[in-house]
Amino acid sequence: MDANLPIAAASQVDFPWLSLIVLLPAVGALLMPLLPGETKYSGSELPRNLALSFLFADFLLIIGVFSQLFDNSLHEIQLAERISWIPLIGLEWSLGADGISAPLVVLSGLITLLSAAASWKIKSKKRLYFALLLVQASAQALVFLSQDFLLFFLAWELELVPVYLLIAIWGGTNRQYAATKFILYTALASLLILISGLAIAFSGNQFTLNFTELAELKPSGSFGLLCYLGFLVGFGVKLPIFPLHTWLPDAHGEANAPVSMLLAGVLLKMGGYALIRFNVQMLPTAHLQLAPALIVIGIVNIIYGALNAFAQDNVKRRIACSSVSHMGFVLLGIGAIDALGISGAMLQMISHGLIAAAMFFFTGSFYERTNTLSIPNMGGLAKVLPITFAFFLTSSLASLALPGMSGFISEITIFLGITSQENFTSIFRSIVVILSAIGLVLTPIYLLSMCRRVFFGPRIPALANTSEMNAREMTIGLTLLVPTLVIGFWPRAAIDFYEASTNTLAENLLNTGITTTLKSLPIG
Amino acid sequence: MAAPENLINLSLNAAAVAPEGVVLLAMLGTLIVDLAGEKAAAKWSPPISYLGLGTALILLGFQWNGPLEPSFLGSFLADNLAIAFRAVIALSTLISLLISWRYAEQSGSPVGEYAAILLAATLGAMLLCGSTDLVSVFVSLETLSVASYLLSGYMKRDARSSEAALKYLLVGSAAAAVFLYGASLLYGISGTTNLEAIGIALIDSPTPLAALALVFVLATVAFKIAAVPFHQWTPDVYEGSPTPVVAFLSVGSKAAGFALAVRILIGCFDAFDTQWKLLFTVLAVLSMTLGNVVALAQTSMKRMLAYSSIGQAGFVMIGLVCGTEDGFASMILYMAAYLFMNLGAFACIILFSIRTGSDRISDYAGLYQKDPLITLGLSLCLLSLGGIPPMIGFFGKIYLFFAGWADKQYLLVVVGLITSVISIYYYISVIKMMVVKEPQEASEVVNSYPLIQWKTIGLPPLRIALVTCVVVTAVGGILSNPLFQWANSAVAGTPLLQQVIALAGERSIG
Repeated sequence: MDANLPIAAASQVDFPWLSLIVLLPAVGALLMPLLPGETKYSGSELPRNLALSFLFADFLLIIGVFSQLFDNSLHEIQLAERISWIPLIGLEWSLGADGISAPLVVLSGLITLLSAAASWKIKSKKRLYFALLLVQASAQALVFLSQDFLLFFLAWELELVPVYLLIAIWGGTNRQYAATKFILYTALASLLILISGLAIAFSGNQFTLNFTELAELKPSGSFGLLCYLGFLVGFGVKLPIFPLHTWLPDAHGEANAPVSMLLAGVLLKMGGYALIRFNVQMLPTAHLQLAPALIVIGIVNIIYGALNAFAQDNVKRRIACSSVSHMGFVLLGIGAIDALGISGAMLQMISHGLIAAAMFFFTGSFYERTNTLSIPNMGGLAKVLPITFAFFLTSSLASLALPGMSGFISEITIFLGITSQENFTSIFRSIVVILSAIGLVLTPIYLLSMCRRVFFGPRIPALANTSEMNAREMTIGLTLLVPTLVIGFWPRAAIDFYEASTNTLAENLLNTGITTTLKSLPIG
Repeated sequence: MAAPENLINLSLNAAAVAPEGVVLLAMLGTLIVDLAGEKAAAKWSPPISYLGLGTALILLGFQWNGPLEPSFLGSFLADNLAIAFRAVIALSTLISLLISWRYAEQSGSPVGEYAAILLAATLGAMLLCGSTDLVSVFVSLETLSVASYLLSGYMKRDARSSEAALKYLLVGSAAAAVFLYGASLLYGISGTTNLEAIGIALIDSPTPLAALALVFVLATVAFKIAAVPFHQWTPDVYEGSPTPVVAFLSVGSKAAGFALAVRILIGCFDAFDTQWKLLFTVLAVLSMTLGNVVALAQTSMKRMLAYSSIGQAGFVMIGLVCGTEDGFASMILYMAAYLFMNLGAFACIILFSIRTGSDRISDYAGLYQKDPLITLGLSLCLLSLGGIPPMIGFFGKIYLFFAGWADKQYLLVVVGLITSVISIYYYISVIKMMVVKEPQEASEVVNSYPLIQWKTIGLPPLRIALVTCVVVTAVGGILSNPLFQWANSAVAGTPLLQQVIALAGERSIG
């Protein structure tokens, strides 16, 4: 790491703040093995406290950096750092944040912190558990912040093993199957990502891995389409896109609640982020051509995910299927190819990150008390756990996009984005809106029926003596739900963060020749 | 053969083989102390061999980027490529020795002889890397092979070890015979045994007979690097041989095989460039696929590593097939990375088998509770072999794929990527065994795990080797820029490779 490379960015700061954000949790992970080993009966709480303090410091740092040093009226990469790492393969430690990455870094910092706080009752292998959580925090931040393709790929692969182990060791009964399925899906997908990325990197006159320079190459034609499809499938596994989603209900269902929070809250967002960063930003021509297809897949996601949720008897699997359905809206927004649509997709990612994490957290909280996740085995919990019920119901309402909550704003923005896109024929637009509205109707049915069956109905005697949530759990719940309400009533709080970037993105798409490409399509 | 005036001047330039000379001295030293009895041998063989190999490594360091003059009348050349491979071999022997003592002691075999034979194998392998004459190639190849047969049959009381030795001997001798046949054809065509001269003669008159010679020679190379379909000996030999010997065979002997491949295929068969590259592509695809797929089904740790090493050799072959600057450099880099991660893994399984006497993968269940060091070390090394960041293997593999893609070897890169996903599955299932299993699911072997202690003779060196390999594997990736530079300057300081790269560049422009 020697030569400093020229930085093409709006602002440059002297201190490597972003590196600090990325590396701080990793330092915490390295300290874990130094802690005293756990004895058989009384494990110390030191690993948890260490992880919590590192993640809390990291979150404060993220908030500080993005509120003080980040200028959200600019669309360029800010706070950029660029150090040559291995020049022979063009690998650089190149970090930077724009409006698309910044809110997701904040989200990732928040969810990871809360997930560590939710892991209060981890009993076995504490040091390993919290070390993996810290590594995961670093890898996530690196995914959102890296500005070099190989560095991005490294971060993308880095989170593979922690998540695998987190599911495989601390998950439910079927955890090993779920973990293996997760790692195989993700590893196969990253193969396509690497191939597509290398193909684009070698396609220009000058070999480059830098995102900004890659975006200037703008590959088109069938080569661009192939790369686009490679990325789409690669990132689609994470998002997930139907039919690549089958790992998700297993992984989310089998992982323990804090890990499910991470999976739903951050990992799925990595897929959406990468789709915007690579497919929309680097391959605009191909994106314009395939946008209608993206919308169709999005609708399939919404309806198929919702219908799947009906069939699930396990609370967590049902929420996992609802995630598939909700991430379909992200696809719709990206496919709308206008500023409103992309902005809605961003907001949907943020809002779903908060809401899904909240739902998994509450599920985990009453699972700790009832030891069952099967809906038929529960009933009448509202009497015993009124506060849990209130929280769970609120998050369900947020999830079904009740007006006043963030989900409503994001979904309505996406609809507006699609309906205002003049380049689609009006029939196409109306069909899209009608079909996704069906999804909107299905969501309350399966979520509220779950609430009814779990919290009302005949009381199961075995569950009569369960204790209520404690202050810690209520704090975590509030930390997740208050932002959803704030965004619901005052969406500017979130939108201001990324609007400059999404607007530029949409402008770029327009400049790429929106009229010429779309008119040639049957539905365009 | 040399011209008469050279014979008169006798400019042997023997300093080029000084490192080999030191290894030879160390070998004689261990033989001599062996005469003084078992106790003296056990006490003095280790320091003598460390000293010899350490000095050899230092001497190799001095040779780096030195003036290039052929030694022994054109039968040996100490270019940077040879130095890099010789260093990899010497280092792999050093680490293999460090992890051997306790194992040899426990199996009740004489230590002095063991060190002497391993040093002889090293001597052959190192000479092979710099050989530029068919005669010196064959002599050093046989030195390596004969010593390897002896090593694999070293635990004479174990029937499996003897079986491995016999199998290895039979297949190896057949391979040697095939090589001799190919070499005699080459001599018949060109009238010389010097590789460079043969290369020129073949360019002038590429006859079908020469293609036959290519196939014979290629078969020998493929046998040495255990490329499919010349791999059949590997699993049996690896399973039966003493584990430290397997560690050496899988790294040192393989590195020598790759050096031989570069010397012969690139130095001599440039006229058949397309042909041997096609053959090698087929071998690489088969090795990666079969090695990694069959490894899935293994229940013995040693057999799994045997098949995985077949797959790993397939990855290295990508670099060789590219024939570009990056291609050769990535091959050298991956060999060096492979040295640490594979020997690290072997150090862990040797330690496990010293403590429990088992090699079965299922016996590793629940090891995390009892032995965190082996668990951590083996996990890191296996993840590195699977190419997971930030381990050194990730960077090595990325460089190989990078070079392959730049040279438009799309098939090889895609097969390499797919098979490395497969390899992640079996590497991680071992980690799953060790880390994920609950204490009550632990194997019987782990339940009766002995108390960990390091005071026994032979264990401290093992610990040093294990920790070094694991640390390099884990941290070496992040700090791998010097290693990349080193691999690149190894290619830059080798005229033979520079010629080929320049030629390939002209071909692609023309």
